[in-house]
Amino acid sequence: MPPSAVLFPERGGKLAALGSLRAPSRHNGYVAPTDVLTVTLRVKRFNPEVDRKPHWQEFTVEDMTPGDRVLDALHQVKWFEDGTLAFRRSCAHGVCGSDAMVVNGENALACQVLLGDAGTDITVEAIRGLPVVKDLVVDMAPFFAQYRSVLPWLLTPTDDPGYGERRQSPEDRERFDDTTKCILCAACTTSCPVFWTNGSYVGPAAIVQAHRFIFDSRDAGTSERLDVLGDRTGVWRCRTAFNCTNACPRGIKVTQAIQEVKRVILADRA
Amino acid sequence: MSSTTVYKGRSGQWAFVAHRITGVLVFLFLLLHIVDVSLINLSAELYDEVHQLYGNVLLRLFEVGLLFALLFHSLNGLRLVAVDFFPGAVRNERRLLSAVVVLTVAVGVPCGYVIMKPFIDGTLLG
Repeated sequence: MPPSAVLFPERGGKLAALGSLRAPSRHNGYVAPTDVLTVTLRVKRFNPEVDRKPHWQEFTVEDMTPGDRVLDALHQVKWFEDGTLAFRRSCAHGVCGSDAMVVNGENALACQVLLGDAGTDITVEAIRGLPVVKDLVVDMAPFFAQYRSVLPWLLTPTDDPGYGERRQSPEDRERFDDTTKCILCAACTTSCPVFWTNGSYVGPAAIVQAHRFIFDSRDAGTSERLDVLGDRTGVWRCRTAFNCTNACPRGIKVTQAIQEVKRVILADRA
Repeated sequence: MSSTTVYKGRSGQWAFVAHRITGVLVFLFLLLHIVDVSLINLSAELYDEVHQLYGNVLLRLFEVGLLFALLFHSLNGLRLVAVDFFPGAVRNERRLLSAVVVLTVAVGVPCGYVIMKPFIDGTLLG
């Protein structure tokens, strides 16, 4: 009995039987939801205690369905084949942003990519530009340091005792709605070619977080944030490659947010 | 499989890469151009001799390449400026990139033909 049948008896039973009757059909690229897929997972592995450089390892994962995610395939490997495989995931439903990785050459959350879309030959590697701790786990400390550098909290006028509500019109709230969606998964920052070559660039995620407060009518810290973002490592490093916008699992218009901050700096500092 | 892979990216990433490469090419030509033009200070004959070289088929082909690099780099530069200043341009950046590529080809091909005409006609120049 395949390992997945132990965990998911309903799948291992009914669908495994189906799979033995007919091969996965991919007519014109269409994958039926009931197809049983055998997925070849190529994972870039690196164990700093043993390896001098990363290497690829191939795993074959059976009894998957098109509705399973890349994360499910990784779970199959970790739980039943090779417990040493290291990757991060917490909620596994696209909310916590722990499992950003390079799936088939592009940044994505492993919990959001369906096998029906990714196909049966999948490559997975760690996100770029941050030091790899092990396999798919990177050191996020530089990323969070850049996040903190833009003061990502509400800065109020110094004469405000903060006893009352801070009210805002729906229109004012709408102004920065897009950038409130960020889950700090680092998919945008680590997809940026400028960040790959220059790790001191504050990066799209930090700019998105700054945008969220700069365009908030209740916030009074714009000047301090623009000091950081108008600096040499700030928004002017952006070369508008649009990788960040394409990579964002929340669909935030990241490049647009960066351009808006650029224009605020231009208007403020010109 | 090598341990390094290429980030797939979409049109914007490859426009960025092409912008960098064409930028370096144009810059290197500019250096060459400064040298060849400043030869006039040394001697008019030397200047003429060196500039005769530009009639050579290989250098003409190089000039066609330079033309395409210049066209792409300048038009894409305008696209990036538009993206910086106009929200509408950010939303339509892929369409703008298509326009950049179409214009580069539309202007580059006839002008490239003019540059290569002596060799196409068989009437070699210089």
